[in-house]
Amino acid sequence: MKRIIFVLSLIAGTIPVSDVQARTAQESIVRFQAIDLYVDSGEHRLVAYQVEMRFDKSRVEVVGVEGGEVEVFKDAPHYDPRGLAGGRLILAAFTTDHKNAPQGRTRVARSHLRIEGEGQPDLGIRLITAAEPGGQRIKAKVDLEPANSDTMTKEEKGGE
Amino acid sequence: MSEKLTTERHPDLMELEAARTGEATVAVRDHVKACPRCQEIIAELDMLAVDARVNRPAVMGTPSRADEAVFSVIEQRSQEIRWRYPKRRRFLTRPVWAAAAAIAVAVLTWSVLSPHRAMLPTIVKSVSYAGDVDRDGAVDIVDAYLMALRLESGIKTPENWDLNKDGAVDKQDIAVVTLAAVAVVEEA
Repeated sequence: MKRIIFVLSLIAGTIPVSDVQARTAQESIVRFQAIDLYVDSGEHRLVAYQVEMRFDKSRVEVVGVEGGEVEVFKDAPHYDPRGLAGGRLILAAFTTDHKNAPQGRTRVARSHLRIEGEGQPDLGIRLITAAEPGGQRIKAKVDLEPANSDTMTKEEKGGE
Repeated sequence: MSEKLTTERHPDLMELEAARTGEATVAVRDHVKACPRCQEIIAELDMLAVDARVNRPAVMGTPSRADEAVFSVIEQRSQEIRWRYPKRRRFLTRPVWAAAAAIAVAVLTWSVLSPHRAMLPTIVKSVSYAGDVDRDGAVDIVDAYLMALRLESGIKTPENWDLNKDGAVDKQDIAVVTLAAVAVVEEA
């Protein structure tokens, strides 16, 4: 009888523990990833852009936003801090330096993401508006791409 | 939304808010594109968002006109209920009816009255028109760009671009427009 009680208590104690362990393991898989935002304005010079980025807020948090590769968009774009952990972030920037406004596909911003759990999270990006010198709206393409390690600083690479 | 939108049936406030944040249905978006009245309301919603960002408590409360409308309908409805029900039954049902009526009337009043410009303070309206520099019906980053371009040119700027009411049109006002452009509206 004692043996049966002992076995039952072991089973009763093991099930929740293993469940909790599995959950904790899943939550503890946390990694950081840099994602680049590209705007392709084609033959037009790009002086302003506004995009909406969507992500699963239960897994992803934006922990940093910085500017892009060209001088005129070197500073971090404008955004609402409420969106960083809210699943929806609007990024926008403009320049009045028309001569140096980029053409074609340009990296205009970089976001640093904190991702929980395994697998690649779904990230959505949508152009709200873009303009060429003078303020005329233009059709542009936007896309996200994992940051290329060649364009990352030592700090971004993790101090290698 | 099953009901077809026409010139007679404008989208309600929630649908216009969805249109403002780019989450409306195709039908609502198409309606808004062709309806100057709805575009004006969306511009005002934009500026309400700006106001929320720059902490202007004056426009955050329920307008007194809405309060009065809600209370008058509640009073009228309560009188009807008092007249319809015998005393004993009324005693039991009155609180439930009053609560239900209050909720229903509040929702109805808000959805019916809020799209109208008269509900919104004039100051918000004037700011919204000023912030929407290119008059496309939305305050976005291109409006901030156009303001910056005008400031840099040295050409006199319209007085109503003084969005933060500090007596000067400057970078702070551009920041107000930029904040409005990137503001994230809470989703249900």
